[in-house]
Amino acid sequence: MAGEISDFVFACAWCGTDNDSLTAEWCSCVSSNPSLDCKACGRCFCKADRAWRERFLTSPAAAVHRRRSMKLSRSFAPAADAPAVDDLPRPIILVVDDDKVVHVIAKRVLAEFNGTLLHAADGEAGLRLAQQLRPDLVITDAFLPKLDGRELSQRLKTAPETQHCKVAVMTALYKGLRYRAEAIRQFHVDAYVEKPLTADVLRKLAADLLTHNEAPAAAGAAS
Amino acid sequence: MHPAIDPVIFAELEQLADGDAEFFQDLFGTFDEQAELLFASARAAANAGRSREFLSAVHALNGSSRNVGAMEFARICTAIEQGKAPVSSLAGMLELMEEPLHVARLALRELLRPMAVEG
Repeated sequence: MAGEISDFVFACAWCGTDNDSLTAEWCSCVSSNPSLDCKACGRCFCKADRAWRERFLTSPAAAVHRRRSMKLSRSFAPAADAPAVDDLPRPIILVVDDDKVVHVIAKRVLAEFNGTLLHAADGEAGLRLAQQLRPDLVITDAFLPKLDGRELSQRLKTAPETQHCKVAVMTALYKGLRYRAEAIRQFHVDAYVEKPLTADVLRKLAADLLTHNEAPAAAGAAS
Repeated sequence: MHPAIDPVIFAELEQLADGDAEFFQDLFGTFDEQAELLFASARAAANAGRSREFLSAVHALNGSSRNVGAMEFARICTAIEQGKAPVSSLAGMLELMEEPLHVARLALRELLRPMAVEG
């Protein structure tokens, strides 16, 4: 993957210390566009001019948006302003699963798509991340904390800004034709696959759905 | 190969790793940490008699262990989830899971050891 939001590291231009965007805190400046405090020297760059603000980050514009998006999704805070989705390398793939092992495997398998990989551990966080960053593909577990993966699919597919997202639901619980049919008809999923997922299945699933996303397929193309 | 780990799944993971020992360390390390937390939460739920929470932890352990090939342990989780365990109390189910989980975690650590030396 060209970019990954879950472990983005940036260097402070003042002191050179590496900061992890997941653990760094927002600065306390009253602003609709805050920056992060450097953990080591405690300085932010909100009041600096543009050149100085950009020096705060090793890779400025896109990094600011990635960092902000991830931070917002983690804290479940409403987005103050829309992130620059266009800055993120495509395809954007969002994996939603409360099993961290799935994320480790997905990171490895999906690296070959050279886009941006997003991680969320529950349905609510996945929904917020998807609403903000409009991924090309969402791969979600069915059985999730806070918001069920099938419901997540329904919400994404019925909102104009996210209805383009291809959604694959993975399940170890809701197996069988009845559940598959229900997932396609009622929850509008594009693919319904049984767990455990092998690397080959995950790779093929992503390739198929991303291809369909480039040239929208006919309705009912769920695998 | 240790009998607690499915050789087919492990071979698939090896193929995915493509010689990268760090991937295995990340994968098994993540499983190990997560399994410990989930088992602790299953224990807490069993002690408090909260069966729904207990089954949710068992389900999570089941999925996670299948992904790393710990199939023997996963089968016990499945039996518990499907109400087919040979015991009926939550404490009994917990006991049923404890040793196989321990064995699976040890087996995965054993598998990592030569990779760490090579890496």
